[in-house]
Amino acid sequence: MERRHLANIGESVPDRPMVLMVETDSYIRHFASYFLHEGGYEVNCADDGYAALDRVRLDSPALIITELMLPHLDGLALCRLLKADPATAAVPILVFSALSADVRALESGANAFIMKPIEKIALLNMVNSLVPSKLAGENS
Amino acid sequence: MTTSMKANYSIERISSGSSETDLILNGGFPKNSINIIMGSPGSGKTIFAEQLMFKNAGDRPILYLTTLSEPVGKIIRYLQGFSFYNEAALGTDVIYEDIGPAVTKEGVNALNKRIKSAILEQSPKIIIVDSFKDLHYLTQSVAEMRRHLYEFTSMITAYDTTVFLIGEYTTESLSLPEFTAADGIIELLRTPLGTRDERFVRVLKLRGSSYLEGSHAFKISQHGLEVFPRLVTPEIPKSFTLLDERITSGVEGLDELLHGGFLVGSTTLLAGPTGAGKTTIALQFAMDGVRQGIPALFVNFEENPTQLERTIKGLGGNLETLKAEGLHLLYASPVELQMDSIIVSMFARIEELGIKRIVIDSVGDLITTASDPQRLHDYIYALTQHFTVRGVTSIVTFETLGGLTDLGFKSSGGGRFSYMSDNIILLQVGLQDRIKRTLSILKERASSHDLGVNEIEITKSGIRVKK
Repeated sequence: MERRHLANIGESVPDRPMVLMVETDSYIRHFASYFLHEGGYEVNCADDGYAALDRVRLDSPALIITELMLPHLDGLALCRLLKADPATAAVPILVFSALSADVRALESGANAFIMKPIEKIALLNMVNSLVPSKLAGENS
Repeated sequence: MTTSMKANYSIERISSGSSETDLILNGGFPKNSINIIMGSPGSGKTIFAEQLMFKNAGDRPILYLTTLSEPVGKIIRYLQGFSFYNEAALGTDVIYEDIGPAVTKEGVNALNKRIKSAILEQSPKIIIVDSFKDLHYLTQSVAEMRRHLYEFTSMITAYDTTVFLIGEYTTESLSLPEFTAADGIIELLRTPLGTRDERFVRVLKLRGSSYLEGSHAFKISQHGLEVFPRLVTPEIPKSFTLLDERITSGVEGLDELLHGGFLVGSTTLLAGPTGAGKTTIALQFAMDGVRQGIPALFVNFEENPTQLERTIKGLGGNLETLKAEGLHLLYASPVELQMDSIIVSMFARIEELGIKRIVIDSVGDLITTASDPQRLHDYIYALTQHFTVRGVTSIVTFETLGGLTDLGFKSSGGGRFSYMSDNIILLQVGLQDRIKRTLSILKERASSHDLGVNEIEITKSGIRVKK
């Protein structure tokens, strides 16, 4: 688990909407964090499903982005647990994966699915559509 | 808010910049793939990459990173002669960058640093590295190169970009680590044949996609690489049925010997020594179709258009009138003949002009121009199958050297073509007190036919079978 304060993308701004990214690939974390920060978001990362469950209660993220293939607790199980918990059920979930598993993801409670690899504009457009626009707009 | 977004299951493709190459690649390079373009110096690698680059320009930038090969200025200077070059795209949609100094100073890590910054700052759609192979000279060990390559591929795999690594790789290079990482491998070959060179493009690997196997000829012109996909035997549609319909040959007396004329869609091998009348009979066949309103194509390697016009005039025809009525000529000099390009031109005309009769005069010229007899054999077979499926009736002439024992086919190098023909007509010239020309039908598939040796004569209106 790591909090992203990337020196090359500027200081974190606490008032920005928080995105929790659950991803094991360091380059995807790096690139996606950079783009999201540019898009007006703060990013926290977790690298497995259980870590994500802990993190979500601490950070109260505006959005959770998760891969499906995760150690210990996979992305589909994570979606189901988050949606079953009243405390986290309202948090939108974006699944991004190299697996063509959009149907399974949506059935498990995800709000949207996007295929990897990531691309800056597609990622930001999707995130902006899932996070209440006033939050991102006010703080970007 | 719930956003239901369905993922796209089909493979998205990046065009090679050539519709023919895309055909070979079953639609283009799979998006987000890592591809190697390999070949010897002068094989066309850089042109291949630049054609691809300019044809895909727009949307997001394309980066062309040169390492230790040619300086950017030199590459751009030569680029300007190609029709695909677009100055307006340069510097915005298409970005050339020389990272030679950086990699010379910092090693392969400089490339990875540049890739990372490019992804973060420029969001490149395509990245081309020319030359990737030369980067091996900057590493101390294979292990070091593998580490750099792992970082390189990890970054590339994370982001939506398609990569082309160019290098003077040979078949000995296939054990290099980048070949394991590559999703696609394209080889450009250049081999001398007589006074000219033959060029071929070959797909060695295309992960996650089918492709057209084998060597496909290409030439380099002002339009870049002009590729001629290898002719493959067509799939016969389930609905296809052979036609029982017959057409006239245009040669007086021959239809009777064929017991009704040629079957539609059949291929006839018209064999005989020089001066036997092959071209004349073939022309009569084409002209006969035109006179009935059936478009015909005469593919000719032996007689240039002036000579052919004279032959037509000798048959009482007028070339310009016949052209206006639907006789189409396709002439290719046997010296410059490239089998693949002529066949592509032939098919383009068949489709475009609705050709139903075709003459190839002669297949022997294809033999002399072909560097690979097996390849030619496969080509001719596929060609005749395409004719059949399209209902195109064809005559293919073949010059024999003589001899009744093998009918001249084997000694002339054409023995393999006889069995691929539906019909075989043999012309012979005998020398006794006078020149005597004869015509025999050796084979007519799915039909009875005359079994005799029939004398023919050349008249002012053409060849006819003597009664």
